[in-house]
Amino acid sequence: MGKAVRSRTRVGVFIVCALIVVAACGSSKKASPATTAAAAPATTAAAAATTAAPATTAAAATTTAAPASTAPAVADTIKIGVAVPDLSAFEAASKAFGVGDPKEQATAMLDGWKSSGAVPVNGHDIQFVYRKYSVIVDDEKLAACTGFAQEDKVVAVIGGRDFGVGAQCLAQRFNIPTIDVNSVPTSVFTTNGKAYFTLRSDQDVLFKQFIDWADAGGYLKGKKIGVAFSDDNTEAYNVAKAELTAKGYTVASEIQTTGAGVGSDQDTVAAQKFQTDKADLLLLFVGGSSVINILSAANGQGYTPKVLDLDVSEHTTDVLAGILPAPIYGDTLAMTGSREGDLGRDKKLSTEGEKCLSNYESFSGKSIPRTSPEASGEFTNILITCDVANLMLKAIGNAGATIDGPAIIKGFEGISDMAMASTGNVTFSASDHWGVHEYRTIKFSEDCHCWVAQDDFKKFGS
Amino acid sequence: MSLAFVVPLVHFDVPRNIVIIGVITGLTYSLLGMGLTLVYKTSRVLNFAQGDMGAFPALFIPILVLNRGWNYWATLVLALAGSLIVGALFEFLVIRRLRNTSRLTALVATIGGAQVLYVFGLLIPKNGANGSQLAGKTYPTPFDYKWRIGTLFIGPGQILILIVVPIVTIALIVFLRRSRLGRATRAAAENGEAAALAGVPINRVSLAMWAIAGLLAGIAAILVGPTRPINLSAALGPSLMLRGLGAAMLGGLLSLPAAFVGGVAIGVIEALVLWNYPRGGVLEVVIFAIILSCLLLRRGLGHIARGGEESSWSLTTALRPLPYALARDPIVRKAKMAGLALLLAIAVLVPTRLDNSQAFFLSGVILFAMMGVSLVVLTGMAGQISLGQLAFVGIGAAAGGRIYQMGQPHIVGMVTAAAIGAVVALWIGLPALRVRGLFLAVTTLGFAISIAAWVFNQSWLVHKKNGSSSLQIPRPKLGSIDFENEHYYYLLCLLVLIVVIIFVHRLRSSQLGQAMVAVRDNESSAAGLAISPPRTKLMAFMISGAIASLAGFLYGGLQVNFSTNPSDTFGAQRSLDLVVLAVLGGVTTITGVVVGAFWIRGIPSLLGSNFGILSSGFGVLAVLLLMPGGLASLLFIVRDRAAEWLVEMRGHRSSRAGALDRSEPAARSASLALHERLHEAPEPVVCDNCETSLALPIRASGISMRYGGLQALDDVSIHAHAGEILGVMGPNGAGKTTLFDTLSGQVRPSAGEVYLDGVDITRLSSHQRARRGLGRTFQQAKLFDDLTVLEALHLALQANTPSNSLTAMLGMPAARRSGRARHASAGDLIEMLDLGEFRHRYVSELSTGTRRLAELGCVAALGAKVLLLDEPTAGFAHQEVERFIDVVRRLRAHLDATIVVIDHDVPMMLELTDRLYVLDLGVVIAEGSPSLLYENARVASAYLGDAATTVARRSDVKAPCPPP
Repeated sequence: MGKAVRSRTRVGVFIVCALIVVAACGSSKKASPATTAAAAPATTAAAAATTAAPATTAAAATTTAAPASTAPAVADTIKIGVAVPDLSAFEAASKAFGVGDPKEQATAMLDGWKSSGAVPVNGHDIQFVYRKYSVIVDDEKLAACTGFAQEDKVVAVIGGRDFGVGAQCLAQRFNIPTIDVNSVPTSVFTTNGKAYFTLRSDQDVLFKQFIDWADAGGYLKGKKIGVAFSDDNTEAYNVAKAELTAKGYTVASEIQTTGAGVGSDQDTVAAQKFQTDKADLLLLFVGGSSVINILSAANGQGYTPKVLDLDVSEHTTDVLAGILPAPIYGDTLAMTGSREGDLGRDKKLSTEGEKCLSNYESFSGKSIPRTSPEASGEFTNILITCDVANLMLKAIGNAGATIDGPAIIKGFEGISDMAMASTGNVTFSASDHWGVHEYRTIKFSEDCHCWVAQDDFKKFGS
Repeated sequence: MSLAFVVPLVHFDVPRNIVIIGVITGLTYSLLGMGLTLVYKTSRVLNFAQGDMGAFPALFIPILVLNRGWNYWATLVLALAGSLIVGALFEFLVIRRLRNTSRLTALVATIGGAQVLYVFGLLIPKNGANGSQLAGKTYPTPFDYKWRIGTLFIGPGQILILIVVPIVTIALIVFLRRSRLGRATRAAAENGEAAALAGVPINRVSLAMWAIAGLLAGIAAILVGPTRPINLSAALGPSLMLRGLGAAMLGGLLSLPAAFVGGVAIGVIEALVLWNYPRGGVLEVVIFAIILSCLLLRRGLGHIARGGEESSWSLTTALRPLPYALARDPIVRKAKMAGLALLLAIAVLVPTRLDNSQAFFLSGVILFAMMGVSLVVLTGMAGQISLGQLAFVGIGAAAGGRIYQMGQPHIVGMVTAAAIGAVVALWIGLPALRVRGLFLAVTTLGFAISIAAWVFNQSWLVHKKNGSSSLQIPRPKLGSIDFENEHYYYLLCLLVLIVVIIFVHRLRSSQLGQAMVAVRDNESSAAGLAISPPRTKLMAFMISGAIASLAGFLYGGLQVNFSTNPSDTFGAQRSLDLVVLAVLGGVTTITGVVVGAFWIRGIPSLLGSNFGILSSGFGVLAVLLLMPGGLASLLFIVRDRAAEWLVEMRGHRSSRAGALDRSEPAARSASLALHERLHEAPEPVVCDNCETSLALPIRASGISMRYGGLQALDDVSIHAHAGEILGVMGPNGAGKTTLFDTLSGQVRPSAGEVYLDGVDITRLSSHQRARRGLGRTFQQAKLFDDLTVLEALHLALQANTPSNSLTAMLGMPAARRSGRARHASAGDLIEMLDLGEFRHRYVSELSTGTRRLAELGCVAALGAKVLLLDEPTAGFAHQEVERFIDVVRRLRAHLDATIVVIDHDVPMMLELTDRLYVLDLGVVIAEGSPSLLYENARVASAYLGDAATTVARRSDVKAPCPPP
């Protein structure tokens, strides 16, 4: 019996080893191009042209001698990954939280580029490869990362809302240039290396600038400051606190919340703490629901502190304005790098914004209302998609004839003061891989229930 | 106004306003806790859908009132009726159908139910006819009025909570105490079977209680609504559940008033902690500490946890391997090998046809299967419930990353991660020595929440340095193989999973694995066989923690950069998902958790969202209702049928006897030698000064035992001579079993000492006494349901010939030799007890008489020198009693042992015993030869009664036999 077991075990072990060796050999043949994609993207681009290039590309490739004015020369087709966010979980809660059809929004951009002759760029045609991810499932973001890098062998990736770990995976693991949307702390840039870019500002820098803005505006002078911050914003808040200290201010009341419990209990305690500590100016680095909770609880006590707000947790960059309690939030000032406030002040969008929406409308046949407050996530997402896509196009343009990861990174780093549809102008450099370097002041209007721009954009540090 | 007191070095503020806010919040926890208690009392189910049962109907109030303009009161009535119906429907459609399954299965069904209600909540159209939306609006209240208490204004929502919750609580308590339904509920809660026999309509009671629990949930949701922005979905996370569970647990899951007070207490403490220590994670740690302390310190709770939960948490749906005879058949063995090879080939080769992102998902499935295997060890084998397993996974990932960050190679990181996981698991397993079942489940849930909220945010663990943090684990390289490739990484994960599976498979058949099953099935009997339940449980925690942490190390490599959101990635919700995965597949088998991983993780990832319904809450409920034993139960049925078919096809008639003949020649020859000793019964050795003699095999001196107001034993002294068969008799309630409990160490006496061979063993635990040669059988003779007779005997034999589990799992020669020796000894015992045809039968499949023989065999295998037999012939037929007397005498001869027997069978006791003690009301009323039953008037009166008919019947009892 013992012998039988032993021999059975040996046979089993042999089969396992043999199968693993066979599988390893098989998969190495299939998967080896993925590892070369990061190291030699030029090869990838060529391979892409032979395997997946559209018919039009092939045709264009044969007419390289044609005059540039009539048919731009196309040397190859480069694959750009587009991360497509799925916010259906939020959209089920409220239509306002939906982002429309992000894939269609990106396709509209590519179509617009081709129609306008912006593509081919430097002789490179562009092909978008889409991968969808749920904004609430990290594994889907990581799978999209793996798919882009090892399957699609894209040369660069355009991120979407809350792509987060997916973008970080692409930059960190595969060194694939990726332009993400959301604001992250400095440590994330350091961790993810040279291939990682974001449209919005470095969170640490943003918080520091916020304090400088508030100081310069005299909003902090003589005030007892109360701060609520969530776990997510701890690093950036520490920077802000250091800046407050450097400017000679002290925090009178401070509370960190986790969002656990029945709902408002922690926020109610926070409001009590602020009231007890007689804080008359609140800095709320917490989610939108907590802002509403804290201010509602304070208001219920007849306690009406002032609030200074900024681009944190989409307070001033998305549809949250539509649900802020207007009587409590009225006249609140905020520092923003977004263009939210244009519609409230000018009743029209910026040139880039209008161009973006018009392009999408003509492509999709839909009509997007230009109303304030920004009533839907779709409105905002179309603008953001335009911005990250245009940044990618610009980076490819800056990269020159040879397209590979390092060239596109250089291309991004060469972008300076580029006008955006959803934000202030964007500048990247070798040391700064975050985009928005501008800010302006906006004020919450009780009348329109929206943010209203108070001035024009200024450079950070000014 | 602030009332403040100062603890040395710590200033702890207790502001009145914060206490009031805490009370208001706590009242909502009370409602949740009372709902959980109500459901538990009637169904013994931990209802994770409690919050969602109310949140879903409560969503209709803002939708209908704000968007459709409906009347508030009419909508309120509708919502409350809706929550009542949701509760009742859940009981009728789900819980009732799972009544006879494991309570863990029912718990998972409630998690599935919560998911279903969440989806329903999402599907409700929330926009008004004119396109108006709910976001930004305030939940409706019947009035807009404020109270002022001191400096604190209380809004309408909070006023409602302050008024309604106490009224509802009082009404509920009065209803349960005064109404017929309430009395029926209490009867059902005390003893469902007895209540049913007494005519209590159990189904109706259960339906009513679930409906009331739904109503409570609805009231809670409606009251909480105005205190926060409108919640557009019905999802309530584990953090809130922990608070509700904490409240319910503080009431022992039985007392509504205690749950009410517990909820308020948690709310107040939470608010004060947040006020005084407003830093992330501290709150979760404090709540965990409070719940843990209460569970550990409250004596009443400890009692409930140790005793009351034993049966309700047994894994009745345990799946078993192929019947022995079938499994030994050559064609079945070949088919099994071929099947395994085919599965392996599929696992290895099919992923090469998948793209890299699918391979990534598949690696996730493999690692979740590995995490599931950790639950097979902990829950499936050792019976310990963990709702916080992902915390170990996170610890493995973070610790491994930290080791790697310190410059150590991957293999060192992997081993260290597993070791740290084992150590942390050992620490979290300590409460399991005192609490069990639901109580342990809540403890582990609290652990998971506090670890995710606090530990994973600590800089000493995350340690950001030079652009990297410990929460990054770059994948290894092995020569030219770069595991950055998803297919290679998948193969690495698969290889580790296979190694873990082989390890756990061998663990199951090792001494330690069998000890785990024994402790799970019957802790008291296991201790009686010299198995240390604490050590066994802690070993299960350690092995499980090590496996989970190992999976975590590899999962870290899969995540690459999960420092962004560790609280989510390794949070309590994920732990609950893992429990769902394991139970859905079948937590007692490795096959089950692997299938569960593919079902829950693989289907939505690999087959797409069109198939997502299969692994959703709907899918979970459907599978559990159709297959309460999990998906593996279906596979096992197919396996058994296929094996039978194969044997029939080849014309094989497998016979158990044949199998026995092939395998046990050595046992038979040994048993012949044994038979020669059978009737060499020793004469009892009588001592001169028995009350204090150190030479006595067993002596109890001045034993008293008090349970609350009940004096179970009062200054009882007994002793037995070497080789004697001593009887202990007395009417029900005399204290006989309590005496045995004190002798065997099940309970520690309030006063008095117990000596074994002259050594004071009063302070020793039961397994330590067993190790010193004190064996015991129990009234119920449950032994170990999921061990075969042979396995049970092996287990008992290991007390004398222990083997190292690790060497046994590795199949080392010494372990094999020791195994063969045990096998031969077990064969002797089986032969002696005539259990040959039952050797491969599970204990749960045996008749009462055979089970008692198996239990005796275990005590004999233990090599006990003193045997305590508690009502060994209860439920025996007359012939079986005769056979039993013979067996006991043979045992005495075989073991050269002293035997103490409790029984009510007078003729049997007269025939079997050498001497008798008679107890009544906890006092020894007589001692002497068996004939004292007739000669001592007090004994006759106390034990046999005075009625004329009884006296007349006494004359029919045959005269006592002389001692052998």
